[in-house]
Amino acid sequence: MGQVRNRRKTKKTREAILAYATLIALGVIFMYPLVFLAANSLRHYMDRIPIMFFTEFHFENYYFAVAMIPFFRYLLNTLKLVAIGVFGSVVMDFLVGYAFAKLNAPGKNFLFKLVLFQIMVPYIAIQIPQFVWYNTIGIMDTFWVFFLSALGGSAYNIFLVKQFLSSFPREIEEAAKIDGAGFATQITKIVIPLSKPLYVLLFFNAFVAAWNDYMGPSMFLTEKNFTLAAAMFGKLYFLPNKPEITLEPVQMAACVLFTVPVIILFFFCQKFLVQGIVTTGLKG
Amino acid sequence: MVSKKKFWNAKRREAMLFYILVFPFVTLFIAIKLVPFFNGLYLSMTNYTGYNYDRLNWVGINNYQRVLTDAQAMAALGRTFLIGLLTIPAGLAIGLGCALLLNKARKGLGVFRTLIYLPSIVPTVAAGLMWRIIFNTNAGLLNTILGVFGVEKILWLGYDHIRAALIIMMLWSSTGTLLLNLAALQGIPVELYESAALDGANGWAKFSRITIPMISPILFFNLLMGIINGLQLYGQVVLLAPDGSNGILSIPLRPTYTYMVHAYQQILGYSRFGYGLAMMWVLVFVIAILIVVVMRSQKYWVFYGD
Repeated sequence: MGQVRNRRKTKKTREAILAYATLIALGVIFMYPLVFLAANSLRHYMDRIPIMFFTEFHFENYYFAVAMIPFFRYLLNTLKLVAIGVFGSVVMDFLVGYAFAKLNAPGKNFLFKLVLFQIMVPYIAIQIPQFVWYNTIGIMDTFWVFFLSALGGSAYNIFLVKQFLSSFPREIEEAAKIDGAGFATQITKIVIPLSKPLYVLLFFNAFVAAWNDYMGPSMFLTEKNFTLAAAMFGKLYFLPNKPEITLEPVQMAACVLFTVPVIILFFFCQKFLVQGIVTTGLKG
Repeated sequence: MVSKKKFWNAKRREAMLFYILVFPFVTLFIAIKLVPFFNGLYLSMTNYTGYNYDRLNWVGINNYQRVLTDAQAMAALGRTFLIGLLTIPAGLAIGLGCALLLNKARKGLGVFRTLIYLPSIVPTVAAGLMWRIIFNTNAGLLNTILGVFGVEKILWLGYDHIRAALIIMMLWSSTGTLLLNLAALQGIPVELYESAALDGANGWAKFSRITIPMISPILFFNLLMGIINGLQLYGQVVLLAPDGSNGILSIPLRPTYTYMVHAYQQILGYSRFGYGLAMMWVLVFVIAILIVVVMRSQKYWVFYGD
């Protein structure tokens, strides 16, 4: 008996060691490119040979990355789009999702089919016709393009909110109703405090989507309104008198500056993101 | 006899509130999605070039016929399919495999989860620029490591290896399904495994009879999203283009010249709006067929339990 148990135990330990070894290997594979990126953002800006690890520390590259281009203008534009996107998801998507989860009205099921249908429709089926349409109605190169689409909400988020709020026990709201709480009180005092993980999930997704989006700004805006993502898609960092030579280290420094906010945000949101995904589920 | 009822009873008030809340969603759905959608469908049957909106010529299905006989467009479509076949299943397998491993790790779950998930949130543009340096022929990360094993220097961003480079880059950032998979795995009741163990099921049986069916709705969802996004592949290939000075209109090398690149080139590059829109509708149609096929396949492998 004892031997069997022992053997089982060693088998378990062996499995655990193997699992951890694989995880460490995967961790290195997935992280090393980012280490490589950071290291190369610090090599001398005229040096054309990549370095493998942190062997040089030319922090002036970060100064160049910001000073060679209108970095802060791009950043401000990015933050504008982020604010619009976050508003759309945290306010609009939340309210629509709430309506679908908690309120009854004739025609609700049909409207919800509309939401599901929109999730399925490929992005391009909308974006190019929108490009043509905005050209026609004359709101190209304004932030209206993004504001309208934020007001209209994202079907995917609405679906998430509905799933999340549907898992609430009904008793909580009924008790509140009996106490005479109106719609605004219910939302602010009960629903929102109970949906923190969902809120973080919506906020994070909206932030990252707007921050990373290069297609929307490149299509709908001109250079003066470009966001960082759209601007960095083009050739930004080159020698003034020799435009064919890209200053890779400076470009890498810009990449680091552009990526770090997302990573920091992820660290702050991580705990709630996982919770949010667990509670939202995706079943049925 | 008839008691006078208040018109705004609780039920009507609730319905009213519902309509007020969904009003912006529905109106804007019509104004900036449905209308452009049909407008685009109409324009795809005209000779629209972006400038002749007031004197359009109706050309019927002419544009569509041209798309189907355009050797470049069809080759690009085939290429997009090929890249999708190579990256979508592998990407899903990586997301699932990592989640399975993480599910085994009790200690350090948070650290490893972060390390593996991070690549998927690195902005596409930053990732693309970073991988260009990793693929550097002389001293890039990849060739340096391969060099240790005696592999000769590979011209990753050249014609012969660009597709392999693209796939490596895409697989690196394909861990976005990790959190969903992990949540699904952790939601499987432990009792299922315990009773299976009592029945003498081995590891593989547990995996194929319990784990996979229990998380199949998530796998299904990931597959669907993978197909929809995969066929619209655009940014990554443009970022690996030999000369990036044209921004989103830079032209990738032939092996990674995808269908969407061809479509955007027609519209934004050559102002062939009608033709480009027709190209786009063809792709939407192809995606729709695939969605239907995948949906139909659900009953054979997706398990919606209690």
